[in-house]
Amino acid sequence: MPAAVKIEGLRFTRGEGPDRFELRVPSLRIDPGRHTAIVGPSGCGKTTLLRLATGILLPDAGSCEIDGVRVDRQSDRDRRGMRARKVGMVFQQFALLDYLSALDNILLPARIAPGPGATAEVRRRARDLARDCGIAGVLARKPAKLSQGERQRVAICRALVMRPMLIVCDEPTGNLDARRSGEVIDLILSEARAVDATVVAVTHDTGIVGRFEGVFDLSAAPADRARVAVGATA
Amino acid sequence: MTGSAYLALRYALHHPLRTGVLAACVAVALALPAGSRAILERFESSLYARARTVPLVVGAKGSRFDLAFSALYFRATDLAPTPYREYAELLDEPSVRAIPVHARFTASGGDVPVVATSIEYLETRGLAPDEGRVFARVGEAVIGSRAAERLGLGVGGWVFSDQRELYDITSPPSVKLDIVGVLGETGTPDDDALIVDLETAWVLEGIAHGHDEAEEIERADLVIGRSEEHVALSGAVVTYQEITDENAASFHLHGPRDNLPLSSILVYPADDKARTIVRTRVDASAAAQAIVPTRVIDDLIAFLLRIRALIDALSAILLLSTLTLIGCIGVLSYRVRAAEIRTLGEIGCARGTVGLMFAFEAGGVLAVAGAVAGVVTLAALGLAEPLMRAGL
Repeated sequence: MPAAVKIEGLRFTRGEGPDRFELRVPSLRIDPGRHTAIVGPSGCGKTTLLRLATGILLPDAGSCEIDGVRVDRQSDRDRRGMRARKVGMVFQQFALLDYLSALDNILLPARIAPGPGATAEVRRRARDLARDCGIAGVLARKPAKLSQGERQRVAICRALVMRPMLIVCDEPTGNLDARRSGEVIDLILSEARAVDATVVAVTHDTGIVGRFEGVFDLSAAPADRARVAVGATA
Repeated sequence: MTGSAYLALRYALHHPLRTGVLAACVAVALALPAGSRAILERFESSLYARARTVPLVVGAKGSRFDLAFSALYFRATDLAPTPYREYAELLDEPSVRAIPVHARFTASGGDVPVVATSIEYLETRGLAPDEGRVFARVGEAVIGSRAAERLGLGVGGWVFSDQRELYDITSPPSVKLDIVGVLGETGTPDDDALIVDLETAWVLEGIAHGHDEAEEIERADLVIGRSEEHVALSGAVVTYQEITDENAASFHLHGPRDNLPLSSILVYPADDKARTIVRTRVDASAAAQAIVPTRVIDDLIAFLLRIRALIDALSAILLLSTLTLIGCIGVLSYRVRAAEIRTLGEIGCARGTVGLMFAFEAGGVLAVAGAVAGVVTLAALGLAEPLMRAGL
């Protein structure tokens, strides 16, 4: 069975001179269904690694695979199509569209992905997810009329609605207190389990790391911690 | 509905003011040239339709525009009257039919032109009463359908002619005109007119009048002189202001008929030869001219086309500036929505889908603006006829 995420010999650089940033990941493999946290200090490249793994950024060297497919060799169009079909994303600032209702935000991946769009089945799944996440009563509201927690849950539902094989979370609890952080991570993991999805979450919240099956620590080996991170097989 | 179209719709509805202002700007830029063009074309076709009904118009020398609009649209002019003699001479021409028109007067406070003509005018124009009958004697009138509706007049009603010189007590007084027929609607200026016999117009001119029989006048001071053949009466004899069946026979003309005034003569030559003969003879005279109404309209339209070209140029500038404004708003909007576009890309939205979303937004604004411009243009067309009636 191919790995859900597989990275080999990855090198990525950005900027020049004193602002130069370099990320090196010799090897990383995350098997399907595994829930993995990526940790490390601020600026070490956690979010960058996530973006490289999903084809939003391209590496200078090395390879990135998702479900056995070399993402780094795909065209921009194919990478976008792959993300729409296989990857659900939860952003730190939720990134909800202010002009869409909560329901339409949840259905956004279905509307933009190639395919039949927001079919009746997808809409039913969106409502079921909203009910499971406790936001069934606010689906008609726009983000400006939602609480922080409700927005977070809408973002989680949006990541799950297409039943992706991989859920990528970038600091999903960054704005929450410890109790709310635990609840949100538990919600993501339980919903992911329900659809057998792999979860990769970037976090520097040590309080929630224990909930994951594996931890990939970007601060583990590098000589120059501020500029270089070296990973190991998770 | 595709995803990009749906997103564009939701965005537009979330920003109704912005969308509305943009659509309004584009609608104005589209409606101005479309509306003015449509109105001018309606004017043009209407003018030509009326002009084509009369091959030649004969009248006094002077402005041919005044003569054409007097004959076709009954507009008051400063042109000198044409003597009845011109009409009589035209009747002597072989292969020519001529209809006299005298349209110097109005009724109901200037609201309705009083068109004096012959019964042949009604026949030629296809005018027949929907109610009542045509005029049979001096003082009777048939009224156009729109004028009848506007003034609330019907058969059995009456209207006073307007006195041309309100403060001149020596000028002929108003005369009561009896409505004996209401004409069917034709969609022409005849619908707005009051049509009477020529002698009625001459009564309004003061050239014809009626009063008590000279033999029956008992006051000696009103009889200036008396002979075997003539009775000379004082100006103090009161003339009739109302023409009735009883006194109609007393109305009579003063002066030779050949000198009686007409405002124009509609001429229908049977062929080109007859037309050429009439034009040559009339144009050679010192006081009269013969015009071809369609050629007069050609000149008028040429002038209108120059105005339309100016409006088109202004509209092009307006449209260009509006499109530039929309382009600027689009660029700014793209920058403001950079985070949204990035998010869409990260969750897998194709570049083409994002582009389509913006295209649908622009297309939606253009479609709404086009629809508004269409409605405005149609409304302008609806106003074209009343404007034309008011302007001509």
